[in-house]
Amino acid sequence: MEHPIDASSQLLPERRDALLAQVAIAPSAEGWAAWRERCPDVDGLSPTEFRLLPFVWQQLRAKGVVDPVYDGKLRGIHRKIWYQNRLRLNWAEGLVEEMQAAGFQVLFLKGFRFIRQFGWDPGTRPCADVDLWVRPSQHAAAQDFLLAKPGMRATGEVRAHACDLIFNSVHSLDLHRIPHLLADPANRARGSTVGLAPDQGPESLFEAAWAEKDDPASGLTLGLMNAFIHDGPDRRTAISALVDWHRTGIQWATIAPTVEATALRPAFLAQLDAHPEIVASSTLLHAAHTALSDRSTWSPAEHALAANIETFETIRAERYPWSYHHWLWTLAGYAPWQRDLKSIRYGADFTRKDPNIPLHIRAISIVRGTAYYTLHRRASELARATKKRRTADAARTQ
Amino acid sequence: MPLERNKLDVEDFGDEVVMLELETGTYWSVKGTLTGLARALLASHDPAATLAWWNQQPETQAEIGAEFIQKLGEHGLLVESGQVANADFAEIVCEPGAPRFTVQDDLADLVKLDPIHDVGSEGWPNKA
Repeated sequence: MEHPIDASSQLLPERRDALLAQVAIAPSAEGWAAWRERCPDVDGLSPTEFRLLPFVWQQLRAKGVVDPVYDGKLRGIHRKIWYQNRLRLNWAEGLVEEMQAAGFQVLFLKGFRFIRQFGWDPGTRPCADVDLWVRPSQHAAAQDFLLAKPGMRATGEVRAHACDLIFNSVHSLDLHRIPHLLADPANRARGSTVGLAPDQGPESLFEAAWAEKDDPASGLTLGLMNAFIHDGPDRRTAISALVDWHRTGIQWATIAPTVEATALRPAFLAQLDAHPEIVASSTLLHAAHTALSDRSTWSPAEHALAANIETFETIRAERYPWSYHHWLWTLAGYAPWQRDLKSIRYGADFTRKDPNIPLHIRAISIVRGTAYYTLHRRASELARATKKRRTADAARTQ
Repeated sequence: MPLERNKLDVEDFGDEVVMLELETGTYWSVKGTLTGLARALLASHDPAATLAWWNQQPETQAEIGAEFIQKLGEHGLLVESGQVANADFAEIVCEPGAPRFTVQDDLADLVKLDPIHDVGSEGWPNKA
């Protein structure tokens, strides 16, 4: 059952993109008007809003709600996404056929997997690139195979989980070795128990996914894991991932065994916790949230992960300087000070890779990063400890 | 000479039929009563018989129908041989409104065109 949005409701989200997600899940003229009030000229859209907008437009039209001013532009966004996705999908499907004929095992991941497996209108789900997952032991050979094609070139170095390729400057392709960064064997080697089942490595993970390649629930689980692992709960990806999940109609119980085996339930819960208004709009997400909130069956690894997430959220609430990977490093079990050091190194690597950045600018950047992640963080910790002590003193005095 | 479906990806959105030429990226948009002509061709009807039928429908314009079929031929989208459907157009619906179509063939331009800032009130792919 869908819950229409009441503009006066206390469940109206503060975030504009979360409000649009609500309209996507429970379309109504009132919800659309509430969003338009905050975005009167349909401009300055966040990436999440741009991703949601064509689906919202389709959902509203199905309810007979037509924006009197911007319907043409909204239709145009839908048509452009349809055009781009159909073109890209046709190209990628041809590529996969060729790869399979050459003996590679390869799967679609994320957006294009959703479009193919759930039969979604390609105009309603923008995809930045094509994500393919090749059997890990074939990854290097598959990359060579693709790079031998005229018009194909690599856009960067091979990363731990994927390499980026681009074709004739039109189509971009992420060739995955692993579906998300927690499946990196290096992570397991340092003792992390999150992201892979205890007896799983990248090869067996692929084999399990290959056996379920036609199973929509498997595609959804992989897509959600990727979104929920790579981006923090208060960031942007989770919002559109929640809408994707709602659209599939796949209940939590169907995907629960896989998520449970990889000890990722606390991460899923944190993502749902971050957006109570979106969860309240969808009976499917609401049911998932209720089931995930029962911690009685959590494993020790999941309880440890939940404690890490709690620390992460405390630090985030202090608006502490933060890099994109802090969430991922939290899930991988790094302590806050390790995450700080990794951020400094990450920043240094980033400047080192760009030959246009002069040496003195790199040095300044590293010093600034170090100050950012040490001084500021220590100051935050001190402030937190002081506040705690004052509260305790005040309680004693009373 | 039915339509060459293998070269095309087609989506019927009700009030608009869009076609994508898969090899070139050329984008066709068909609106108004011309949707009926496009639908009949997509259902493998013979172009000459289709045009004759379509010209008898309300709100049609003979020259636009002929131009549309001529353009399809120029783009190599009409094949010389192939099975044509029986000349029964009972199921084919023409949407109301003046017949019109656009053909956009600059793939790079279509991909780059910002659907919010570079377009007019009709939206992508119609430039402002």
